[in-house]
Amino acid sequence: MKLQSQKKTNLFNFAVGAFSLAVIIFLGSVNVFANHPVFVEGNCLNPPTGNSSAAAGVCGDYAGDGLIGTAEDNDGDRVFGTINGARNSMNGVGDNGTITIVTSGVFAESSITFRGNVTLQAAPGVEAIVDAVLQGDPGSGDRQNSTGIFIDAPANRRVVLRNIIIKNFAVGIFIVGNSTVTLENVRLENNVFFGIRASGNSVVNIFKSSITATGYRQNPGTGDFPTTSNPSPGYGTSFESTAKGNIVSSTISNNFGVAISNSSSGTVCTSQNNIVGNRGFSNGGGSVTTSAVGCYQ
Amino acid sequence: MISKSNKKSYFSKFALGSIGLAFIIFLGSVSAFANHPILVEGNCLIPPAGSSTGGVGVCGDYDGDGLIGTAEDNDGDRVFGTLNGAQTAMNGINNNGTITIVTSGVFAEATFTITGNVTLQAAPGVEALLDAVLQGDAGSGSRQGMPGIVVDAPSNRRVSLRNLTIKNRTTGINVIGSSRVTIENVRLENNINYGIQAAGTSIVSIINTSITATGYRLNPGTGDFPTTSAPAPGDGISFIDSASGGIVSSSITNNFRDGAVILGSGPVCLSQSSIIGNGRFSIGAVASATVFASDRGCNQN
Repeated sequence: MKLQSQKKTNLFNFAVGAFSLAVIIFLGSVNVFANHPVFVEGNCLNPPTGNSSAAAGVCGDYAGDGLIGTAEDNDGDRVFGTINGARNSMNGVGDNGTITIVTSGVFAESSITFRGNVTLQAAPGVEAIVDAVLQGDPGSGDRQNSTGIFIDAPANRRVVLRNIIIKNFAVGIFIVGNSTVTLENVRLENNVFFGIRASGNSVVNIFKSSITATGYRQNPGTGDFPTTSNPSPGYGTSFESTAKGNIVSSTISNNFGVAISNSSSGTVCTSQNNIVGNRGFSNGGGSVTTSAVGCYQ
Repeated sequence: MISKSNKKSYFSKFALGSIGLAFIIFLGSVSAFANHPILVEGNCLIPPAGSSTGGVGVCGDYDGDGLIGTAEDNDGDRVFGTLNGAQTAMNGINNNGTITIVTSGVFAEATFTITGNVTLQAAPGVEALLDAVLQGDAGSGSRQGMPGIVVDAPSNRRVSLRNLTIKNRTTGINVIGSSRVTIENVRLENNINYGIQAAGTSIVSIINTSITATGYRLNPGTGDFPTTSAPAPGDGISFIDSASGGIVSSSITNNFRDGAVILGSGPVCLSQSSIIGNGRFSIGAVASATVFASDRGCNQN
């Protein structure tokens, strides 16, 4: 008799526990996928990537909790130590939210991928360098052959990148599919094949940005471009398939290939830019127009 | 028994005390309504909104007093922890003064209403995110159904908004009445109805500003716009009634319906801006509207 009542109690406790767990999982999932903001701290370039060994002073530690790097990713708050952590860790944005880097640092991470309503930005005045290379980090070689930021969002989502530097990758920003993307105050340097590559049916606004030195990179492990290794093609920007875009108030300078390659059926409108030192203004046969008053398409 | 001379002395002390008190109250009231500056600290996104729980390090604590959020609002100094505290708390500007946000943070607050000579700005180098959503905060749902900033000032007042990001609202900035507003270096994203709407007889100057993804927002509680819920209408910038303005060196991109739409009679000038990826028109206007594009900036009265 006593055993039966205990069994009932156990069953009841189990049911309550299971229900609570389900509620927690539900709430967690709501939170994880809600359009919420998070912060990312900077760092002081201590290898390896995402290093959580706090140097004296714990530089970059915006939260002031003594944690940086992957340790900050995993402490359960809404401040993170890596960009991929801010996307994928508990309380991260997933593919829906705003990631703001609030102190300067080098983020030696590769193929940061966005597929939803995401804004990735550094606070004004903050230098956020997404660089393939971090001295002393064994991943520096592989990352130089990868893409810095990859965007593959459906037509019903919007992506914004703002105030970010992307360096030393094969392709700085690669945009595919139906992605619709705003790039503001983004600086691309020393990427080898393309600074910005837009393909598919993507729509890309490049505003107050700088694309320079594409095709120029010297590294003992990955080659001396263009001196002994061939950047192919070393374009500043490239629009392919049916992609279209605006390039306004921007600099496209000193790239190995042309400033703007448009092999797309879409129009690329340019206005108020400084384009110099490239191997030609444009190629590819697609429409590249220049406007005095801004670009409105 | 109080002597006559004592009575006189009491009376004179009482009179002096009353005058002193009145003077203090007068000065206090002048201070409350004076055009004074105040600072607002950031935070580390700890729910609920305005949380005074700092955690280790008390991030965002600009004045280093160990207080943030509403606790900072109410400590009697001129540094605050929330925007609405900076308006209404003791020593707040009360619609006459300058609010400067000095460390980065998310300000998940109800609609911020401005009716006087007010500058609301983040310091250069600071990200001030006026986001309706704060993970774990119970008000995130209802705030997504409110505008971010409403400006309703008479024509003898001037308002400046500078270096702010306004996200996940119905309308990011709603300018009404006779307001005169300068919007500089402001980012508006994922608002549902309008990024900026100017109505009435308002005059709005928009420069170095970005309005993107209006009508695009996914939230389990408030809907998936525009996939299953309809933005109404999802325009980047809208001028109605006889509102007028200039849009210079700005980016209006990837909004659900129109980039900029002029439905009223006021003149609107565009210059050196980038407009692309909007669902219907880059620039839409009724036949009676006056809209012009300039390659030399916007020069109008």
